[in-house]
Amino acid sequence: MTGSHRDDRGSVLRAAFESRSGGAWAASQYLLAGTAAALAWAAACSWRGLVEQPERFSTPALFAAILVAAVGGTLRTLRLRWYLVLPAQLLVVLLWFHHHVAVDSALGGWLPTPEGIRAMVQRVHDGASEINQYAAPVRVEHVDGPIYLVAAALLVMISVDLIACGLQRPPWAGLPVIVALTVPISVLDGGLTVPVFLGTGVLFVLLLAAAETDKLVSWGAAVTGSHGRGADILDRASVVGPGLRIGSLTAAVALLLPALVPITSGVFHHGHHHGSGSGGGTVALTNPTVDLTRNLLQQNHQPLLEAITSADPTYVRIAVLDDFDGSEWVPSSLKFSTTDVANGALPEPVDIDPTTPGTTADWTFQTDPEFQTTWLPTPYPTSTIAIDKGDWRYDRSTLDIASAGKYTPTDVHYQLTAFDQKIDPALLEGTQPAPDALLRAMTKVPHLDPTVQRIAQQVTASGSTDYDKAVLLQDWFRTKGGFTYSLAAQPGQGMAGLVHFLTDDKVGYCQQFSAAMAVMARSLGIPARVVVGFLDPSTRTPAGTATRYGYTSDDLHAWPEIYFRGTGWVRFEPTPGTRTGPAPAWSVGLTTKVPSTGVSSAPSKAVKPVTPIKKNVPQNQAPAQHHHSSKKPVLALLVLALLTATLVPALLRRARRRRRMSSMADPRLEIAALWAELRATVIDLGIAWPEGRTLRTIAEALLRRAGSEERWRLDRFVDLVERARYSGSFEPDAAELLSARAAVVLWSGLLAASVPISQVRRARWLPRSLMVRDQVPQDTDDRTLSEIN
Amino acid sequence: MTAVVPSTTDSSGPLEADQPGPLGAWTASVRDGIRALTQRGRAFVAGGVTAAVCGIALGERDLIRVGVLILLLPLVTAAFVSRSSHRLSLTRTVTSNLVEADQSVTVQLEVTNVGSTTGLLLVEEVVPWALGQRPRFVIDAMQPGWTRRFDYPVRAEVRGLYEIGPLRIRVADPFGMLALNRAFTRTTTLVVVPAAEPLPAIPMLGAWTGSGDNRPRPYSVGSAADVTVREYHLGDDLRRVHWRSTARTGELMVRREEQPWQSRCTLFIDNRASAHRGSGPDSSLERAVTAAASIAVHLTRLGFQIRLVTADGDADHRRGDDLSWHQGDAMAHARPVLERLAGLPTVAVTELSTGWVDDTTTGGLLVGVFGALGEHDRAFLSRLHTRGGASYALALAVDSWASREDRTAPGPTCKVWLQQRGWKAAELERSASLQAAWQELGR
Repeated sequence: MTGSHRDDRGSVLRAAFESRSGGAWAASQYLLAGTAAALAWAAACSWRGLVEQPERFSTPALFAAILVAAVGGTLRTLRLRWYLVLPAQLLVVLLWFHHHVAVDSALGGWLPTPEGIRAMVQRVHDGASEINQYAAPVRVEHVDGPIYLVAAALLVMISVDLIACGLQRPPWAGLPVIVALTVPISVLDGGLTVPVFLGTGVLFVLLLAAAETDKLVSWGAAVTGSHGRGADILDRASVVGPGLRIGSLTAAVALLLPALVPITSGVFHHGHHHGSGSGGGTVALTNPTVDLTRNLLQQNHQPLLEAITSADPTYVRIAVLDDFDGSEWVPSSLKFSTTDVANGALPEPVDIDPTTPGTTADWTFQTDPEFQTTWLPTPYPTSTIAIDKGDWRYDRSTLDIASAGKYTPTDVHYQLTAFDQKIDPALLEGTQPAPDALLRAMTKVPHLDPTVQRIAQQVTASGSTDYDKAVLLQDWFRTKGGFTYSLAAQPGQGMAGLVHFLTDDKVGYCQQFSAAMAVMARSLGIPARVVVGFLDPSTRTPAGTATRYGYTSDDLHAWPEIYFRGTGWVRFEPTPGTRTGPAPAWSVGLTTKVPSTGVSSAPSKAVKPVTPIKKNVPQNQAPAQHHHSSKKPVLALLVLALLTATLVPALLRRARRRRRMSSMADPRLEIAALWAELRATVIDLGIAWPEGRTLRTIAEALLRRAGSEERWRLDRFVDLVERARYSGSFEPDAAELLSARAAVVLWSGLLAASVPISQVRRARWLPRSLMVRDQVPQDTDDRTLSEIN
Repeated sequence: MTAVVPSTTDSSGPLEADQPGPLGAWTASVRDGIRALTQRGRAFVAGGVTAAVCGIALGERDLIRVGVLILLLPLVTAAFVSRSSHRLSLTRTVTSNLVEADQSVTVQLEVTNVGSTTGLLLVEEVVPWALGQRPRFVIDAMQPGWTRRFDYPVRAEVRGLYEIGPLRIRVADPFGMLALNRAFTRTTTLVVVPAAEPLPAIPMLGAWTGSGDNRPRPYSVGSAADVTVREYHLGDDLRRVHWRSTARTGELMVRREEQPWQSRCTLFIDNRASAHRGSGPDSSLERAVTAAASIAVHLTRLGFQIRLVTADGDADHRRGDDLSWHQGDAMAHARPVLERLAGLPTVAVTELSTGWVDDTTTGGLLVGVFGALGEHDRAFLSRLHTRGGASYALALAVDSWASREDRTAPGPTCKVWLQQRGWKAAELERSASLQAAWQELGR
């Protein structure tokens, strides 16, 4: 018999690779080049967060992508090798780029001139430094930033095109793409946006599929089903279709799945800081709280800042932590407005009444080359400032000055004029309540532990005004509460740590004291915040009329501030006097009149020998780690409990089986138990058990499922069950009981073999019979069984 | 010469056996798929894991995302591809499984999907290199029950027995991440017989008594007891129906009107490796085989029953093959001989086998195709001549096939020696034509 007589459902299209039509070849080349260019463009679009108005670079980059794909596709259609295609692409793209960037100096707008090329290079260079210097997003007036990004995008496009199409290694094209994607991952806060991730992911997958399609189509003659369509078209759809489906599914899962992965600050976070902290390396201030703790604990007397002034050098602020997130104090505004450049006059502090008495003084600061700080240490309030380098911005509400550039400059020299406010306790006493907006924002305590509030209320019971309460709180911390200052303290974190500090431990350093007081004040409805800065300088040398002060890492300090309408934020000092000296004059209350030496001489040299028990502190034991280790056993226990829980059904089932299979005094019960065990096994395995039918029917149902060779065992067992149920006298011998037990064991195995292995596993770990057991008593047939159950 | 042989059909069953259950089958096939990851697939898995671990270590969720994407791509592909069915059945049809060298034959393949929808399949038919490149096809996705048919021509330049198949299948995935290979087991044998050259008729000293014309004699004088019958064919005269046989067999049988004279010929071919020079298609052995095939076809046409004897004896005889004497088709007569010639290998024996020589088989015509002859062979051949009724020898001048350095000094040719021993001998040079040599034998 020959095939010619058969139904001809398929047709044979012979399309060998060499004889493929030029059209198909060109189409595949353009498709590949287009996909590669789109992929590179999508990856470059991840940089949109770097500049304001990102269309300024993404639109030219899109045009460049089309250009690269068109030139590459066309030349490869002519079967030119990559080393010929690449220079041509570079030439065309650079011509266009030159036109785009330096159209004025080009001949006729297109022909490059030496000046034009120089201008182009210069603009790219400028753009690079702009992107590096300014914080993202770089503002609109920096026009060269986008130019640099276009140039970088060109590089990505050309390399993706070269690798994927020229060298025909599409998987490796992922490397430049990943390099491009690391920019937003490492620089921008938001990381990759969803469209960018999905776009690059799906396009990469499509690129792989397109390249693979070419390989598959050229693998052999196409055998397709329909006569009308060309072989190439059909095969392409057959490959790219599933490819797109797989790619979309994978990208979606990749987008969603990692959301479940708990991300902290990374495994190396703590270790890294400890490694660099010891031995006088660079000191970086990026997170005020953490860095304060670290620098204090290290006690390596590293000089950080020098100031020349005639004013009081104490309490130089670094940063305001005005947001309590439920566990720690953090700065609320990390984003500074692009217009608030800290150069020249700063706005008047809104809180301070302009008529407030005080003195102004000039300061000259110089940060240490080893001191890298995001915030510039300044006295409060500063009215004018001149900074020699870096991109610094100020926060309107706190007057914090922070670096907006990506690389915080060190060795900064700056001069400023600051106002030294005279605070009158009487004014504080009679102050009006704070404005609503401020009150709401500055008394927020998420997850407040009632204990804290209770203690605060107890401590301040005798006070009537905010000021009284603040004074009482400070007093409680400094003297009455029985607190001890020690750097060796290992406080817990968050609210729990706070409660522990307030109730049991009562040992801590400035961080705990300031945080606790601010939280307690907030819990009483008093606006409060924490400030990090330098307490007082370690060294003082005369410099003309002024004094040169040197601040070291040991001088870092944290203190709370309480808001009073008309006066603004007023400093308090809950940290015991062993560290801080006497409290500020205004903060001791109206009753105890202290000579107004308060501010000017409070932390004098005399009280400086504060060398608490800090020698014992192991260098590499940060509080955070203890927090972690305390949680680990809990987690381990939880996992263990979960594991155990999964074992429970299996163990229950096993115990039940053992009970049923054990010999009993009454043979009737024993046989009934064996029958129940067989039924349970059948139900476990997910086999339908004909409830309420006769024993013979059930046995027939089982026989249909599994082997007939062992039929006699089941028959004999059913016989025995019938006798046990219905006969007047039932006295089986030991051999019969034994064979009945063997029948149950054997048939359990046979039935298990008749179902998929997954069901057997399910039967073992999640036996259904545990759930359906209640139905048994209603089973009229299982009369005996219901009796024993 | 066209071979009219029923074409063969080779049906292979489904590729995969049934799995115990749908879920079990699925997990098993996914496991298969993961095992079948190519280097690219494995590299993706490794890269993805690395990126994800780095992401976790550095606390960068986006890096984890990238890693998970790269990691999942091969795994999802494996799951996706394994999910599609690979249960196929194959029918291979060859238009003729016996062809002459240089003739082409079409192999037709029919792949039927007996499972669920398939993906793109890359199929490759395993054929010996002598039949050319392996035919490759890309089969588009098939719905359940669909059949795809395709064919390819096969053309062998050299005689031989060729195994066609098995068909190998690679399940294509969109990214080249998997190498999921399957293969059918069934193969088809294609017999490529040496191309016989037409030989001129020469007067031969027949090895039979009686008529001088080498034609089968009409059966009209024999006794009725010798009657032979055959099946009734359309057009046979009803008067020729042999009723007694018809009654016995239940089908119409007719008397044969003629009976071929059983003129026998022993065709000897020397296929010892030591007797031949050169290698491959252009060796003296191939020339000898072609000559033997031509002679066999020629003599069969003349009504001879051919018995092929090779250097290591008479394989047919040892196998006990019963040759049917009454088929009228010359090609069918020659076919067993040609098939043996098609697969004739060289043998390592140094001396010609003598076991086949006996009175019953050497009574007729003897035609030998010889290569180089040694001392022992000459002794044997001189004895042999005396047995046969007529002895013809075609002696190949094997030195003309040898490469220059292997060439020995030309001694006295076999032809002369054989003629001295009473053989009718002719010499066949590399460049000479077989027809001429054959003609020379007739003189």
